[in-house]
Amino acid sequence: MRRSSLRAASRLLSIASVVVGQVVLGADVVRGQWQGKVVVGARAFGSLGHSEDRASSELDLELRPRFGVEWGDGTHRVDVEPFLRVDLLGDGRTRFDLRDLAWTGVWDEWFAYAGIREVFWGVTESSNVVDIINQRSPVGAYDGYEKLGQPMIGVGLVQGWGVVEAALLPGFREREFVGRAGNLWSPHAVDEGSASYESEAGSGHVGWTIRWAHTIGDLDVALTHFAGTSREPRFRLGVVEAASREVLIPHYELTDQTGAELQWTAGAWLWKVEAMTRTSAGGRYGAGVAGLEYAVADYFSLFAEYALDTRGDDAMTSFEHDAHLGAQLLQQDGRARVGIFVDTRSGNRIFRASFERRLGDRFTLDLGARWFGGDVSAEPPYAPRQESLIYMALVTYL
Amino acid sequence: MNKHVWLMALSLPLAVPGPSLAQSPEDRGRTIAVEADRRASGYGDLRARLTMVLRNRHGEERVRQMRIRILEGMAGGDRTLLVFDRPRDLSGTALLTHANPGASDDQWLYLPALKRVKRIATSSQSGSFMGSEFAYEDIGSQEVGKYRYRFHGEDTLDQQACLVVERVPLDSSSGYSRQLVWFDREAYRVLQIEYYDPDGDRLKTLRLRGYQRYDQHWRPDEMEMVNSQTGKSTTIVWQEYEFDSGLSERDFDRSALHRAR
Repeated sequence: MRRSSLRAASRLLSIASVVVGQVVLGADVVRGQWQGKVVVGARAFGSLGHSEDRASSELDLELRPRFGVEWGDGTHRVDVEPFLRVDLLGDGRTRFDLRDLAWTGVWDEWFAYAGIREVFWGVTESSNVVDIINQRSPVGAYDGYEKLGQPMIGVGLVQGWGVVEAALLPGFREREFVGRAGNLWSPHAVDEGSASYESEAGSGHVGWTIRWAHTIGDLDVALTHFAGTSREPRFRLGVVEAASREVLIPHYELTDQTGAELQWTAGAWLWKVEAMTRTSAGGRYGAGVAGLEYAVADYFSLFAEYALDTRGDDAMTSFEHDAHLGAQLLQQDGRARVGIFVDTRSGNRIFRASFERRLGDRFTLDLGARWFGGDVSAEPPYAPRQESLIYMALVTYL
Repeated sequence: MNKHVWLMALSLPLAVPGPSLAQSPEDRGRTIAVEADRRASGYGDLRARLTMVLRNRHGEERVRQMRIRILEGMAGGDRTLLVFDRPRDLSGTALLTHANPGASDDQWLYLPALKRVKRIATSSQSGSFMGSEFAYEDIGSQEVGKYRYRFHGEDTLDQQACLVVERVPLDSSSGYSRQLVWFDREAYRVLQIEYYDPDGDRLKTLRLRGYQRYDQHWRPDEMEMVNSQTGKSTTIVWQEYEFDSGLSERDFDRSALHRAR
């Protein structure tokens, strides 16, 4: 019932957009593409050693339709990607978001876009330190984070010496700390409502980015700069007077980040490095990931990377001196990934494994596990706690 | 003087494909390949939809659907963009290939879930294309300069008179010791290719059927590759061909991958 009405709605949407494209915009050829999926996902967590009152499991239903239409022989295109998560256990994690609602125009060497978008920067596998445009949300992600759509308006130029792209980023999305994510940083809850900003404009501060990217034979290179509100908050300890309990209050600083990405693709060997330096009221620091991928065969790759963060124990990440080894196997109807992260200072380690299996034409089953081993107290105090978890998700494609 | 030029011009197309007593089998094989290549190229750009059906030896089928765009480049430097529609979990995934004549190709993969473009290691020539019975070298550009030729003989296939040419890949990374190619005499369309493994045994047979003419270009509707050693087969059905649809280099650069979905 739900699926058929969804499909009917999406058909209506596609017909409507074609009509809009032809009547309003006077375009002769309109090409539309739509796809959608429904995800039912369950997760169970191991103990963090604190705040045992938190839920030890989560059960979500997610709707993720995706729709794109282009007209004017590809000159204009609009992408729409809404996201709805329904928290089936009622922990308050139900959310609607627009991951994408943007127009893109392309004319000869120029292109421009406006709307809510998701952007990826980076080349490495284990983590992406240069990737900064979108806010990251640990809520609802099986393992790691998801990105929230960022309002942006930008223009780009394609030349023989590369692609230059500049964008304004009006509007800011605060990090979400509901459910399990609220307790990852500390035994204290995060008081999102009291969030403070360095900028007097608060969340209305307009940031900007510029990026140059180029391919020179076997080299893919990019330089980036970001100026705006840091996506990563600092926390200060506060007290809720009424309840006289301590809470963490997020504080968003202004930051400047300059980043570089480089990949050298030499046959089956892929050498990758990305690094950034960031300045804010708290000072300057740098972070980087470097390593290589070896494609043993089309369907089997090995990875080895090292991540560094000059803040060391003050890092807001666990990956401040970490080695990563991983492997990926692609099969006709599935995919398997395994990886291990080892902190070379503390010896703490995380083991990750994930499997995806295609079931017929309309379903995939995802299984995954993450196991943290070592001493929790040796982790950086400001980083989200590493934890053990297992997850399972059934994905239905519409 | 003028008369001579006219005579030469007239005799050229006749001399090229026709059976010439003076030609060695090597020259004749190469001449046929050059003529077939001349007729197959010059399309500028094309768009089409592909349906690929993979069959294992028990007859179980898997279906792959994709959209393809090709921009013809100089001397085999084609640009190809493949966007997957099925399986549905790969929908929107796109593969961009810049073929480099005489060197390995450049390839980028677009992952729609992450909005990420990844430069990937170029697949080995002999590797399987999407798990099918087609190797990358079977579907990539088959420039004349990539093989050594020898005229093999004449044959009849589906009531069509054919010229059969043997070609030996010059690249040592090829998965084949030799191939036999059936060209029809009428229009130099490839009707069949037999692929031989490094031991010299027949490995696969490709049949191309349902040729249709789009302007001056002949294109098959269906390509069926049967692996006689494993019993597996793959059929590719081409639909909605569009030629000279105005594609440019800009439709085949890295940023075009984001718009491909």
